[in-house]
Amino acid sequence: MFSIAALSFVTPWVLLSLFLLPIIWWLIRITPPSPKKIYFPGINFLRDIIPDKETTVHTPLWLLIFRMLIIALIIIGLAKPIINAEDNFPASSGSIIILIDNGWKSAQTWNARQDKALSLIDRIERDDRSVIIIPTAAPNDNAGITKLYGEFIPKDARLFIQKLQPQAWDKDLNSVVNDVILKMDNDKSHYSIWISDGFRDSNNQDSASKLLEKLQAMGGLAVVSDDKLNSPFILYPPELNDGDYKLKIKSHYPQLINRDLSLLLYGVDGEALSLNKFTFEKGKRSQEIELKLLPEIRNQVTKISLQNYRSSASTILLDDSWRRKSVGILSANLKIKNENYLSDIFYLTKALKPFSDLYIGDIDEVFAKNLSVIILPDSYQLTGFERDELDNWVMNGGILIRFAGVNLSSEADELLPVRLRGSDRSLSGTMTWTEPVKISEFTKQSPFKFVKIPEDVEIKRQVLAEPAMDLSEKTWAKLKDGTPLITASNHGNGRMVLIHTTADTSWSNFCLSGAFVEILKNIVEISSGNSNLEKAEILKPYKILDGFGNLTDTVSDSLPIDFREMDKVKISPKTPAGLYGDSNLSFAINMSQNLRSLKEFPDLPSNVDILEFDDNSEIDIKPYLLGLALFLIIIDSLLSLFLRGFLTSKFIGVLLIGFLIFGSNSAVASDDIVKLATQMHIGYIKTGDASIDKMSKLGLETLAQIAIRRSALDIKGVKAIDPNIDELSFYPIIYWAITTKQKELDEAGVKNIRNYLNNGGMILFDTRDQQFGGKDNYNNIGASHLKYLTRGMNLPSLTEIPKKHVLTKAFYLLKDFPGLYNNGKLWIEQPNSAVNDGVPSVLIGSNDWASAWASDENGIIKEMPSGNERQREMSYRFGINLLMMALTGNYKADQVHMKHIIKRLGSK
Amino acid sequence: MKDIEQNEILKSSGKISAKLPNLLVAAERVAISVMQGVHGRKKTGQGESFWQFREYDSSDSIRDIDWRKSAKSDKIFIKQKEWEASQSIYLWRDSSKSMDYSFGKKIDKKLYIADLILTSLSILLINGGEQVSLLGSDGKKFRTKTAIPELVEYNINNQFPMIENKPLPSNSNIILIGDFLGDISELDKFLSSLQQRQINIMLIQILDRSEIDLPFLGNVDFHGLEMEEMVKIPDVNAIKEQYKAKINAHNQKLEQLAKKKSVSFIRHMSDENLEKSMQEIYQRLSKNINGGA
Repeated sequence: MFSIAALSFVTPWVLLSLFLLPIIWWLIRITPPSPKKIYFPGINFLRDIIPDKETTVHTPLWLLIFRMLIIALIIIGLAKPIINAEDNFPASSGSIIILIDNGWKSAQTWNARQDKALSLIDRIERDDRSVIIIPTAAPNDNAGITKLYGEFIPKDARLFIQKLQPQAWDKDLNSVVNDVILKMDNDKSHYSIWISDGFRDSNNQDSASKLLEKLQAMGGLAVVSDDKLNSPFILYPPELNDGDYKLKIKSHYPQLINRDLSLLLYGVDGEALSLNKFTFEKGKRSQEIELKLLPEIRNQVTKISLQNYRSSASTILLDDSWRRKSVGILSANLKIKNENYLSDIFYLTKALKPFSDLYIGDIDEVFAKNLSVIILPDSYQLTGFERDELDNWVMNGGILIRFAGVNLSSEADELLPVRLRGSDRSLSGTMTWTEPVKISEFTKQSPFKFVKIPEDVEIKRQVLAEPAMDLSEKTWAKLKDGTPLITASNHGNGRMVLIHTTADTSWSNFCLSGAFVEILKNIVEISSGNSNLEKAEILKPYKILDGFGNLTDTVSDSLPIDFREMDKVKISPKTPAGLYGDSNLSFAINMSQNLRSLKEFPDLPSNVDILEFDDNSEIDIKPYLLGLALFLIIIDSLLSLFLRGFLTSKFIGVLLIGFLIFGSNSAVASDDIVKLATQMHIGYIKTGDASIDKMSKLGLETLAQIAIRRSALDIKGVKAIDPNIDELSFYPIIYWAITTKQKELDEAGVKNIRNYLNNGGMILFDTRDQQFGGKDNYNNIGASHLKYLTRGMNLPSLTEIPKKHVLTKAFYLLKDFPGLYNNGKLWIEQPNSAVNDGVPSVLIGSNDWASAWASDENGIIKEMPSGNERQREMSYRFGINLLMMALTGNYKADQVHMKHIIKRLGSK
Repeated sequence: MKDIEQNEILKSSGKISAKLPNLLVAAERVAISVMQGVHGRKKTGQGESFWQFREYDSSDSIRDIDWRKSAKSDKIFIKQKEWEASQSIYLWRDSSKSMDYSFGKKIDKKLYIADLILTSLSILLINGGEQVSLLGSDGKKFRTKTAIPELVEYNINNQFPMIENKPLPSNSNIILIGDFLGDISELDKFLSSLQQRQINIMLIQILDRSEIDLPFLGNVDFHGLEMEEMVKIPDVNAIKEQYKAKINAHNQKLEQLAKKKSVSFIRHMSDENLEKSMQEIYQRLSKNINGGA
């Protein structure tokens, strides 16, 4: 390498071509730029003039120097100049070893690590030495030990590094020492560079020092330390808190800056369900996030992972047990019994609500919900027909949980796991103790083996099972005297479970205990699975996580795990984090559940070289030089155009405009358009009056939130629209608050609106002037400005909204359409079924809706002038109906005829 | 094909008609400022005023009969008005391609200035009671103000013929507008032929400043506007002085010729104040016409 001070050249021989410059100088000099072309009337006077002094045509000197500069820049650039080039690595007889930590701790900063390795390889390449690469985490094969790769020529090493991925388990430094370093031949000395993740091997704290020692002995060592910059985020499994997820995120070191993180929730097929942004605050080491999710979304979540900081530790898998089950409770009379401490429904509801979605009703209502579990309390008496239906449902895979009680004991039916003592002796079959009996310990076979039994639970009455051969097999829980408390049996594809006591307090205080909840939870949890669960104690790996937290199918080399030991599994190459089981039933093992605490990397011995991680002192200036040369070439061609008289101001203008257009606008605009086109937004017209625009924005945002909460609408945002510029076709509805401060639209704007309306758009004009006037608001100030603003838009003729218009029943049933005011009329386009299927494209009113809708974090913004908050609710309902109409058209209007249609079908 | 042609024609005629009012307005402005500047010009009359009664003969127009006068006697009289004695003034401007030139966009083209001079002169002359005729307008005379737009239109739409071919009535006036960069001996011959017929001549030369200064640099290929052969000048600076000498000599010759023939000669540079030049032109002209009449 040839170097001048801080500047050095990788291929200095290219500089020899600088000697060609004089020849090029001469060549350029004798080929002048083409002459200018000028039309000139006095041309005849120019003829036959012999100049005083002989002038030959030459390239002007300044142009000559300019072009020589370009060529010199290119030559110097091709010689690959580098500023502050690093010194060579110390000589050693063998290769240079790059150890790269690719355990899970390195995943979140993997790109930087890869880049560092690549830049090291660049340096090694200049030195013309070979490379050995040792990833310190074991690959996913059945050996479970680390390996050495190489030796490579630098080019191949680069390819290897580019393909190298972090693993979903920790590095194994012990294995590096024992399986790699000790097995290398000792003939040659190797210089090593270790790209460390900044932590020890969690499974073997001392191994790092040992490895340092060995490497040092082998021919010298440099460690790339990142000086506590690497502090991976670890995500812990959520806690369910009344249907919301509470997640904890930890970082080993306090974060140096506020980090904007986002949690991405994935669905069953890996589709993204929702993105939740939050800030991990500076200086903190852990943070809790609460995720409020709609039940139907929450039940789909299979994976939660941290965007931008992806690793197996920042990914949480949620298995089937996380999904809330839908449970039906059969209840004959909702209104009376539900809020009554004497009602069994009350206790069941309390117990089940935290972990399941409850539906309470009679058998038809409950069947309509497609449930996995149905609970039949004793208070509900089945008719013969209902019993057959329920029987069928269980045969098809449902789970029925029954409770005993006076009704059952008096008349036992067939829909039971065990036969009860003869129904004719029902009264005598119910035993009465002088002393109540407690629940005995669960056996190991019982699905409730982990449930603790409170001492004070006492059973006063129960129904008794007829002794049978299989009774003990069917028994899941017993009382201390050996009589069964819970029995279960398979029935077709489903299962029936009987609790031999009541779900209320009349027979026992069981329903008051925590065990009651736990036991119900256990039964419900195994509902989507099947009876195989008890037998399949060995779970095979089904899908495992890779280093970045993606689920993969490459499980061949991972070992099965014991279901009973699931909580104790340590993450290793053989048992990585992932889903275990099969496609029907799988259990998640997460990285963070048995994570050992992270330990800082040991202090380095003094004879170890330390390389900085983000070490940017070495600058390759080749791209800058070539870029500059390219820039000068462009200027040169513009100059020659100018010299030939082609470069007019117009031409420059066109060039500039071109640059501006390509430089700035396109990327941003198209990005925005994709968002608008793929996600639903509603819009409001920018009036130019900041306070009114703000009100429209807040109003629509609040309305959108409420609509999302109450209906299936999924509105992603609210946009301010300038019709003179913006494309309108993305918006199903546009809100236009009229203010005299708004200037008339220009022609493009008017056309834009006209097109929008003609092609099925919908605009709600709000003159907001109801406070000024009575019923006929057509001549109020807002209305007259509206007339002024909408000139040329070809607004259709209007009529007062008919009483049975679809707007009155698109979602809610409405009589009027209040905003901040209530007495203004709503005018709509005259209904004409030939146009737009009769859905109006123009609505005009004066009730100032946005002001009624609007609220911010401090709550509502404008008090209702009438003082009637009910009116605000009605205005939200109007808003939701409006959105519904904008999106579904007159769909609801069709349904009005449903009664007649059904009638006619019936009569045939 | 035909559509395209028609389109082209429509387009170009549109361009012309758009130009017309502009030119007219500009010319009127010039004319007004000249009229304000010129005081005491003796007018031959208002043009409509009574001159004399004359007995009607069959060559007279019936319109001209003064019925009141005729009713007083047995004869029929016609009323002759003063303006009929006014002068005919012919105007000509060079329509060759070399006029269609200016250096830089801020300065008007020579042709436009020629048109402006021609039009404002026409306005002034018609106001002054003269009749104006365009050389090549087949003897059509423009007498009243209302004819001015027609004149301008004619002016824009028609190529003026080369002067040589046009016989003119003797004792008339002619104003020639052009750059006169051509052969001087030919001009000399032409002027002589006109003067033989006692025709009063006025020359107005319009030049662009660049035609005198040659403000170009470097290596230039000069092309003519009238299909002249190209002239290659490797370094314009080197020949600038020689060019200036040559063009100045030409202009001097032109002036001398005018002097010799006692022809009124005015040079207007296209970047000069047109109104000022117009005043001079108009003053000289009235002297000429008055003197000639």
